[in-house]
Amino acid sequence: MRYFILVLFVITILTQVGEILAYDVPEFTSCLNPQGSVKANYETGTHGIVGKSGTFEGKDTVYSVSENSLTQCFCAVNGSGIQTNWWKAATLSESEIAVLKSQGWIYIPNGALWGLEGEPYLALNSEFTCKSSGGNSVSGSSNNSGSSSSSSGNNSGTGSVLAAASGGVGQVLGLASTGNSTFLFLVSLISALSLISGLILKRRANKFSK
Amino acid sequence: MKKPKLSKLSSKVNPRLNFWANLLLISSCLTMILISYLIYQRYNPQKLAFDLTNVATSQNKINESRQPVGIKISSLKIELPVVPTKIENNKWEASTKGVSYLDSSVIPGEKGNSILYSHNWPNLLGNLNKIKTGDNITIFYSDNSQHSFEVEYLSVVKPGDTSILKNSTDNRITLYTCTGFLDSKRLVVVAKLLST
Repeated sequence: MRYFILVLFVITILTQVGEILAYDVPEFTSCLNPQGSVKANYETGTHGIVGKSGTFEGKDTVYSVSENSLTQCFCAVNGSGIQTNWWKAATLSESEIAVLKSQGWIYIPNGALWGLEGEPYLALNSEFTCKSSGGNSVSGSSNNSGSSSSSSGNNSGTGSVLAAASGGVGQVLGLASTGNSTFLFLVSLISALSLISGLILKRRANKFSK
Repeated sequence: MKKPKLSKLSSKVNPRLNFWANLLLISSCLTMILISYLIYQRYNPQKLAFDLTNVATSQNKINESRQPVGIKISSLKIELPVVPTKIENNKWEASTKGVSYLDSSVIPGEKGNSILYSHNWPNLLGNLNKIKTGDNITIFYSDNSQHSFEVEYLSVVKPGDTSILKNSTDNRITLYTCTGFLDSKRLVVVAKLLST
């Protein structure tokens, strides 16, 4: 019981630390369904990806999502996609940047080197799979005509979240939880704890009699 | 020295401790039964097939002539019914008998983003992680028509990444299931309508 309280205490402390360093991560879009205005679009060409060495061949589109955020969607000819979220870091403190760097963000002192405004940025990469130029996701050919479907300039404005519209509430909902392994795990844990506690109590109850 | 009688021993059992011990053991048994049922439900080797005649229809769109009633992913040997579902009180309904179709989204094949999702159970979309770009997804409708979609994007996202649900200017379906440790992430498949 003491250990349980101790763990709760540590969790509470950690949560408080997180609140002190609170910052609002701007909204980014997903390369699977990009929103916002197209800032740059290259159907073919050689591109650099922040945090990765070398150059990459493929289609590159940059979307301006908000004042402080851009999303770069790169789709290589072999079908491997890299999404880079760019966040203007001018308003962030050094300690906040340090925390964000520990979470995988890459600090870019001057965005001009990447074709952005000449101020500091934070960038975060994530991977996705897109349709390769040859129509095959595995090792595409060198020929690239940009068959990937992210059309340049086509965006439906704000595009309200369907879930929110359906719920009749203005809040954004997460994606549905479609598995139940968390529930299974929790029930199993409760069952095991009940069994162990029950057996211990039973033994104590019997010891008492001796 | 006399040995105490067995009856005397049993009468000295602490009744309060014994009560709680029994309560905990009973609750443990009940939760074990519940776990067994859930595991059975999760791994029920039900045939991946659908019967279009047994598919439920959405109450909201019952008057609409064309509703999605089935989905087929040939490359994964998946054939399942499509069941219309809603979000009520911020909770997503999820069918255990087929793929859930969020009926507030557009009908698959129409202009916009149609949202479909299901459990990652073996009898549902447990194999979805094997899908590749270029694979075909066929949607069957209540008027016996069908549409084919080609997979263009795959990604693993956090549940909070709702931008994949936003509307689109193309005719697409967004199909997803749970993935990752303790189902903490979502495997998302975006497929676009093939010209008919």
